[in-house]
Amino acid sequence: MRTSTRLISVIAMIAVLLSACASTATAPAATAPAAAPTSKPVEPKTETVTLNLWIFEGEQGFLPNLIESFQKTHPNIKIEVTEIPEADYVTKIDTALAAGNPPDIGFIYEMRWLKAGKFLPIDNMIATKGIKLDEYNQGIIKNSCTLDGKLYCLGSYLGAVMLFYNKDMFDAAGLPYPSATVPMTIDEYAAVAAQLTKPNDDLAKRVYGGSAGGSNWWNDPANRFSPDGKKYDGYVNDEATIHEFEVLADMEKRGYSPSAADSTLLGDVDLLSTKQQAMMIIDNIIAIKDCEEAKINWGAAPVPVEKKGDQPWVSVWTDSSGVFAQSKHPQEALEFIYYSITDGNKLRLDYGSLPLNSRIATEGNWAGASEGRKEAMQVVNLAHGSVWTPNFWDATGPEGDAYSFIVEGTKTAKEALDEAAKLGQEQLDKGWETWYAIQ
Amino acid sequence: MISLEKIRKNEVRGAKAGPLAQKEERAAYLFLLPWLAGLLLFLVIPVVASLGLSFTDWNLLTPPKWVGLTNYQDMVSDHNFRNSIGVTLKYTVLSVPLYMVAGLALSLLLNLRLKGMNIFRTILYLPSVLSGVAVAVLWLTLLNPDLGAVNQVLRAIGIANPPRWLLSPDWAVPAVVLMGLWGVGGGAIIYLAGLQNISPHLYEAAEIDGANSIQKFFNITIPMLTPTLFFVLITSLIGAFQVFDTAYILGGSRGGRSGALLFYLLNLWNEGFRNGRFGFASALAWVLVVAAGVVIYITFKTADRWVYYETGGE
Repeated sequence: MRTSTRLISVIAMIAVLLSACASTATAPAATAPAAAPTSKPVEPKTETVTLNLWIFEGEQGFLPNLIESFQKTHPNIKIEVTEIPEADYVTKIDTALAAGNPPDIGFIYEMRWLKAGKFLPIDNMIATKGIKLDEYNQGIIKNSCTLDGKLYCLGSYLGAVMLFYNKDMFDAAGLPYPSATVPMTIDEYAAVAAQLTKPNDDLAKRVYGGSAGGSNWWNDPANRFSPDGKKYDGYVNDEATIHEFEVLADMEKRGYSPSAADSTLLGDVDLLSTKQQAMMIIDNIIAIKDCEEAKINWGAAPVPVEKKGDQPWVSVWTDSSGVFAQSKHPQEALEFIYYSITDGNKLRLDYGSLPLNSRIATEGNWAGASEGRKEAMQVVNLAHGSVWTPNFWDATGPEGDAYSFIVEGTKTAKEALDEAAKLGQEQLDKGWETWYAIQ
Repeated sequence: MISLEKIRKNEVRGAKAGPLAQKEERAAYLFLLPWLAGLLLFLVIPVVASLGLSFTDWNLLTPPKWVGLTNYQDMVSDHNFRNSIGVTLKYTVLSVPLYMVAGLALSLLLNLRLKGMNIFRTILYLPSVLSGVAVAVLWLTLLNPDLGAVNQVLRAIGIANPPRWLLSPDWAVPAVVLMGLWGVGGGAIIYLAGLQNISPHLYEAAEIDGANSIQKFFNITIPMLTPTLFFVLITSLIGAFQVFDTAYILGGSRGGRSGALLFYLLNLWNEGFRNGRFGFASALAWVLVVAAGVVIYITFKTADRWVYYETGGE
């Protein structure tokens, strides 16, 4: 056998060996956890355990303090944080899961990870530690953390989208404040915005009545999907939703809300805090901070609904971290989760954030003397479960285009939403196909 | 004297190489081994694996499930697949000829013997070395339909309703083509090298025969430049099929307004990394490989008719 042939054979063998190792590594690992957590409290171990926590950016202020506080009470547990850009987070976790090497704790960004059994349920821990679930926001529990009757996460703070408004502007216009418990209809909202708008050729002096834009990010999913979450076409383009889009687009066309160009020219600032906008649909984290810093006399109400009698809707979220099933230290990881959802909630008060636990928020006097904060707490208590779909943002993505077409006048609301319905339905079907393929 | 031909034949008849030659051969393979291992591990094996995956349903979370030709069949009725082919073809048809003509025109100007020409060459080449993402972000601002500089200029010269560019399904691809013109200097430098390889004697002989500039251009410059044109055509076609980062920055992951910027690779990425359909994405990748292969093959086949090599061979 010639030397060159022998050498080629050696190379081929190495390649086959390496490919065998690689294919083993890339095949999705079994989902059995490293050690099933027991229901009884575990005695603290003496050896130091290091937990890996993967999170995306945004918690640079709070997380180090939470970890420092946790490590003081749990000296044998160290936590190493890896920050990943949010846009890459899902891919990184998917890749780590496929390699059989995920971190111990991660943010539950995708419900399909729960379906695939990649996270540990925390029901045992909740029962063992005597945590009262009714103290936590029900919207979070039902929409973000539960699958097939099992709970996988809670969190330490509550983010919510609400209608924030400037009370002084309402007083000046002689208008009653929006109710903190009963939402306005979209027509009522537009009518109030019209009365609060102060047109001016000078953009810097103009006052807008409210905010418009596409509503998929703040509206109830039940308005867009069938109760089983499988149909989008026929729901997003029903009469009520078409009317809602028409009203919102009309607000922008008439100048009751800023256009994208206006917002850019005004520097993309929070117009509510600069007193250039009377009402704004925005999340509580930004709005409360900006309004209080600007010393605005602010109030909070639920977002408008499509028609009278619709149930109020509050989009909510939290830092829903869970324990990966393949964690080598599940007990310790669950200890951190427990700490986060109990003492972590109390720690959030120090940062002015609204704790996820309403009892802690009340006992910690989060609202203080602020009427706005009291109203915000009333609004978040309206949060409830709704329709769930596997790829909400992909399915509802075409609504943004539809809204733009309506504002530009290139399509009617019905034409635009019919087109969006068709595209969104196709995306939704793909999402369910992938969902059912996960066993 | 023994001819080279005879020596070669003796070698073919299995004459053993000497010990030194064998040692050198072993050393060569040893030096090549790391690269070969890398080639196998990071290119050949993944490519072959992707072919296998294209016949499966795989979401990374559960083992791949064999589905045969289902992925390829599903493509036919998939709206995004058909749209992405349309967008990519539209971009290819608009951009490739335009960039080739613009690049050639620019190279003819850069070939003039003028003072400071090197500075012009540097300035015109610079855009092609800038990060594609940075350039896309810049153009996103320039092409803003309400506030961007391009439409402000168009309004100033009397066009009351300029195109909405990236926000218009009809103008989004032309906007990307327009953006790419900025980087045409890169191709111009390649043409310039080709132009400077054309023997001046040909032009002198043509002048003696009374040829004017246009006749010299079409009868000398173009024929002598055909190998370069061919190279640029092949690379431009491959580049047009591979558009991703520009589309992603300009249109987002959904491919812009009504999917007007849903290029083929962007759709492939969406199917794999956003929809979790890696089997389907692998099938898309292989369809692209085959389609691109067919286009390149046809281009090579037609090259015999219009590409002129001075040596008479390839």
